[in-house]
Amino acid sequence: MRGQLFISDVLVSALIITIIVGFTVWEAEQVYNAAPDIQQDKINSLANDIAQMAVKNILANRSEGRVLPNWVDPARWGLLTGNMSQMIPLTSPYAYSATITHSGLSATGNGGCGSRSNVAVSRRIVYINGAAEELNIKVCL
Amino acid sequence: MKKGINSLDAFLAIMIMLFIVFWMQNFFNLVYENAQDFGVQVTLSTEAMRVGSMMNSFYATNPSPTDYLQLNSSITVFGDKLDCRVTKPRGDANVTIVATYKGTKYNASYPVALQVNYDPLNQKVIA
Repeated sequence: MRGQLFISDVLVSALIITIIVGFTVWEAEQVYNAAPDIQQDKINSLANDIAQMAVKNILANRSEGRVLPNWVDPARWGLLTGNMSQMIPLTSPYAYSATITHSGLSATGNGGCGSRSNVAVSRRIVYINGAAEELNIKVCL
Repeated sequence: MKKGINSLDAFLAIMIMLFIVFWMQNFFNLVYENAQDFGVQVTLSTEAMRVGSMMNSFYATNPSPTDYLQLNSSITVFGDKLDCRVTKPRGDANVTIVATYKGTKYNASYPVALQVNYDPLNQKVIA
């Protein structure tokens, strides 16, 4: 049949074009969907880094020139909060909180993580004066 | 009315086909360029995360003044080798990676402990 719009040839070609364009758009969307994953990876990595540095170096008790990892010196808490406020300044889109349960040591930056939706948490067991407690580092976007 | 290749119908059909082909070429090119731009940015962000996390882990080992961490900051993007420059000025709690890809400058950064020092000449992280 000639001169008709709804012939099978037109239908098949329209279908093929739709599939090609649709697949391309879907591929592009898949790429852009990676952005939130990267951001989540970044705050996860940052929370882990801070927790690791805190227990192994920044908060670690020093005795006779030796560093005791995981043994927290409460007097060094200010060093941790100072480091965190440098790494996550007021201009940063991230916020943070650091707490050690029962010991009363806590700090927040940029309003803390209370109202934020993307939160990464890293926990470590630490010793303060011989008692095991939990260091809780939160970084959020 | 003429028929065949020199007819008005054939001319119109060729014009429509050309329009569709050029539109699709433009569309695919735009999608490709956007994806490439985004891909370079994502790759640099991941690289900044990797390098920054290595620096933080190095600092967590309580390095002595003679200890160092050797970095290699060349990464590959879409088959091309992308030479990037790692910077971490003293007093700055961020490592930044700057790279130029096909004439466009990209950069990404990641928070790093303030006490970490980086020697860009030798690509060494020192205590």
